This record gives sequence, structure tokens and C-alpha cells, in this order.
Amino acid sequence: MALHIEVLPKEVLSIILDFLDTKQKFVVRGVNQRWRDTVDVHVSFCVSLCDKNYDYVRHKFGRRRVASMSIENYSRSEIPIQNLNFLHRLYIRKSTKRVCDLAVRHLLLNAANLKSLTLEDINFGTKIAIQNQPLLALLSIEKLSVKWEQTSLSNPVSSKADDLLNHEMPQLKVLHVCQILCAIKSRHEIDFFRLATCKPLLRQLKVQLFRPPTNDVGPVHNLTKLKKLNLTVVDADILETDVCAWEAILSNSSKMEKLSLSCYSSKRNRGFPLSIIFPVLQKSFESLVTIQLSVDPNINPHIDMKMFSDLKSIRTLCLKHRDYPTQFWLPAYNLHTVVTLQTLQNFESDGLKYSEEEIHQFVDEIAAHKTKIICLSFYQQSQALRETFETRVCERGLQNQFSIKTDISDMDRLFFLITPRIKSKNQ
Amino acid sequence: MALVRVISSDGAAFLVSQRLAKRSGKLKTEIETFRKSSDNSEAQPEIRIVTIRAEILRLVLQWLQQHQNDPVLPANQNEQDGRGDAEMGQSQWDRDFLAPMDLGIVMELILAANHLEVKGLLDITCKLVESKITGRTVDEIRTAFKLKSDFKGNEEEQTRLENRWCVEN
Repeated sequence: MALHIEVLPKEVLSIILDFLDTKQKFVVRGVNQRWRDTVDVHVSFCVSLCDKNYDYVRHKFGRRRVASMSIENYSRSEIPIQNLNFLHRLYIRKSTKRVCDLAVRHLLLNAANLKSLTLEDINFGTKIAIQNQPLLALLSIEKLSVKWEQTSLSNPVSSKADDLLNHEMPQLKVLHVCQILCAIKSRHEIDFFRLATCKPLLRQLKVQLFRPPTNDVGPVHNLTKLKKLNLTVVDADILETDVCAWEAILSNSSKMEKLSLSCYSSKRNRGFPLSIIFPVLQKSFESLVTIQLSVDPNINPHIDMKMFSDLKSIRTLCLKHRDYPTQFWLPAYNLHTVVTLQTLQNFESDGLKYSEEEIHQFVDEIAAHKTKIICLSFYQQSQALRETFETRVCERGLQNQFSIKTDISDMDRLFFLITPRIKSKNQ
Repeated sequence: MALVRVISSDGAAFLVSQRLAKRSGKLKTEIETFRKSSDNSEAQPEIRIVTIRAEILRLVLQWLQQHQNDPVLPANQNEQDGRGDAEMGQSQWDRDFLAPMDLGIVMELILAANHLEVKGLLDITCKLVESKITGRTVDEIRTAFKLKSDFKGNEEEQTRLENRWCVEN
């Protein structure tokens, strides 16, 4: 009894279609009704829409499943895609010409299953957001990215940002990931933290608010609500005036996986004290995988590596001096602690200063632990430090255990990689 | 070694280890259900597969035997993550295993792998069908799979026009 391909259920046909490229899928579409219907349900497209290709998009994709769409230089009010229910990702960008508000509004009204929305230099103004009709798309968005160019400090765009960030936007109920990169005129215009406190599901946060120097006291944050956030990813450029808010956000984080903090460099902004990450290190010691810190020596006179000693899952530890080489090195102590971190694979130290004794201890720990560190780089260290290191390696008889590579191709930077040699089974 | 008796639709019985049988999602569920409902923990489970005949069941068990040490792929594995495995993981043994089969047997094997939830086998058999589609025209595919057009009126012409942009490029 030989069976025919038509006995295969549609879910199995879908598996076969997975192996075909798009062109071949459309060949298959012409075989018969069943195969055409299966392909139509199966295939989804990414479309880039602008004024010039309107007719092309309407003709080729008008009745197809469009899952991802980017729009720029688009002045029409209508969208040439008939069914927006399949649209999951939407990227709207202003380049030489702004995108029509009505088109944006049409998309947000009808793309009921939108998961990711990116707005780049787009006014999320009253024409789009503040009307009686609910924006269906906002009900399902999990990832919202908003970006305004730094150069728009005096641009009306920055004042319009208030519509998006200060508006509570109750429709954004399932927001998990929020990325805000924005230049603003004065610190009163955007209260990002108010948006954050309204979204209990928020887990990942990437924030860079570029502000001009100001003497303003700043808004009073609702610290109680901020303390309720339990984030897994934080990637933030911290202003000194917002330190109390970030301290509150980080105070209760027990599931943090990636913590990346830097500080917007200016004379009036001293960044953040390292003490604000202590609660995260204590409460998320099992989940933290990546830590990247840009440290300001004006507020942190030194770094004690012991603060990282309890981390159980850390893979990447990256510590940088904020202003190096314009200022002095930042002293760091207990360097040998990083060797004891069993899961660490990548350690970077940029602009931090270690004493000769620190280096000796470090090498000794490497010898004692047969370290598992895969890549270890010291940036911007002196030749003397390297010599100290090499001398100690020789003293400990570890020449055959490590290969040291020097690379001075990156401007005047000196860094060297220490790669543990893997012993063969015969050894 | 704990055994399980698997019986095909035409009554042939195959005695296989439970460890091997549990590499099939369906058989694993059946064994666990049997264990929960049976008072005697030593009793040998007996599973009747009413949709798969002996020749095909033997092939499935043969494939499982060969791949018994492979990591088990979850049935609901993400499509984009999982589909590459068929090509990446297809061994010379798999190619030799599938080579003598005609398309009818392959279809039965696909249905059996789908029913018994053996993802690895399902992937390589679907990949085999894909290889018979790729590079062929509509007419060649119809001939290869003995299919006829059932489009009505000008549907076929309409479909051809809709596909033209892709086919011509």
C-alpha cells in the first residue's frame, strides 16, 4: 500500500515548507489549491515601505502575510497591506522625509498582534496617540524602542517626547522591554521613570537620556513604585541627578542577568557611586551573567574586586574608567578575586591601575586555580605592568602554561591576552 | 532491562527496551500511563499502534536503535532552531537508510514519525521530500508526486501571475 503525498496533514506539509527557500515555496504554491493554501498560511514577509515603492509593495505584498515592516520617507496616509493581523515587528524612521501621522495611526489602530515597535525620530504626537479610538497595537506590544537623535536638542521633537513618555499609556499592558535613547532640552520634559513605574511587567530596560548641563533639581521620583521593579536586563546611561531613582530600581533586583551602567560624561555629571549596585550583587548573585561598568573616579576613588566574589554565573566582567586617558588611573584592589570566579570567561579592565603586589597575587591565583578564564585583556596599562606580569609568570614557572600576546595596533593602547593552554589528554 | 511490547496495526509484535521506546514521545506517554494505571510495577507494557503497519514500525524502531544515543529533540522546538538539524545531523547511515525507499514508503514513514513523535526521523524524511521539490517546476512537481491541478476557472492563471515576480527573479 503506497501512500500519496496528499495524505500528509498540513502541519507536516509545513515542516517540508520550512526546508524550502521563498522562491521555491512560490513554485509549490502553483501546484494545487491545497498546496497554495498551505503556503499562504505558512509564508510571511518582511517589507520595507517608502513613497517610491508603494505600488510595488501593494502589488506584491498587498494580500500576503507581512510579519515585519519598516517605513521611512513615506508621505501617504494609506498602508498598502490589507491584513495587518500578521504584523509582529514595526520600525518607523524619519530620514529625509517624515512619515505621515495618519499612516502610523492606521498601523497602530489595526496591527492587533504587534510585538515590537521601534520609533526613530518620530513624533508620537497627539495626532497619533490621543484620540478616542484605542490603538489596538499598543495592547500587545512587548518591546518598545524609542530613539531621538542627540542633535535634536532644540528640535520640537524633544518636546513632543512628552506625549509618549509622560503619558501613562495604559494600553501598554504587556510591555517587557523598553529602550529609550533620547536627547532632551530640559530635565522636566521627560519623566522616563514615571513610565517605568506604570509597567509592572517590565523586565528589560535600556535607557540613555542625553541632557544638557542643568542646575535643575529634577522631578521627584516615585521611589516606592520603582523599588517594585524586578528587572533582568538594565543597560543605562546614568545621570547624577537620577542616581536615587536608579538606586531604587536596582534595590530589589533578584533576577538580574545583565547589568550595564555608564555615566553621561560632563563636568557637572559625576555619574553613580558603585554602592548602588551592591544590592544587585547580593540578591542576583546566582543569575548575573554580564556586568559592564563605566566608573567615575571623582565619586569612586577606587574599586575593590571583592564585591564580585560571590557571583555564581558571571561570564563577562568589564570595568572601565570613564574618562581615561584624560584623567588619572583608577586604583583597583584584590584583582586576584576574579580568578576565583569559576564561570568567568571574559574579564576586561580598562584604565584601572594595579600595584605590583596585586599582579603578583593575580599570577599566583592563576597558577593555583588553573584558571578557566578564556580571554583576559588589560587595556591602557604600562609596559612596566606587562613586564611585572611576565616576570612573575617566569618566577612561578608558568611560561609553558600561558602564551602572552601583545598588540599595539589599537592606537597607543597596549593590551595583552593571556590564554590558558589546554593540556592534552596524554599529559 | 525493562521491555515494552509494541504491536503494529497488522498484529506484528516488537519487543524493545523501554529506554529505546521512550525516545518516541508517543510511546513514552503510553508507557508512563501504563505505569500509573498498573498495580504490578514489574508488568510489561503492551502498546498497540493501530495506524502503523509492521514494515513501517520496524523501520521506525530500526532508526531509533541507530540513534539511541542522540540527544532527544523537543517536539515543539522552535522551527528556525530545529530545522537545520535535519541537514546538519543527517549521517551516511541515514542516507543509506532512506535511499532504497520509494516515495510511498517515505510518506508512511513521515506519518509514523509524526504520530509517534520522533522528531529526528520526521525531519530527515521531510527533508527527503524537500529534495524532490527543490529546483523543479510546477509541472515537474505534479509529475513527481502524481498530483493534478484542481484550480477552478482562472485561479491557476491568477496564481501564476501572483507568483511571477518570485519565479522570474
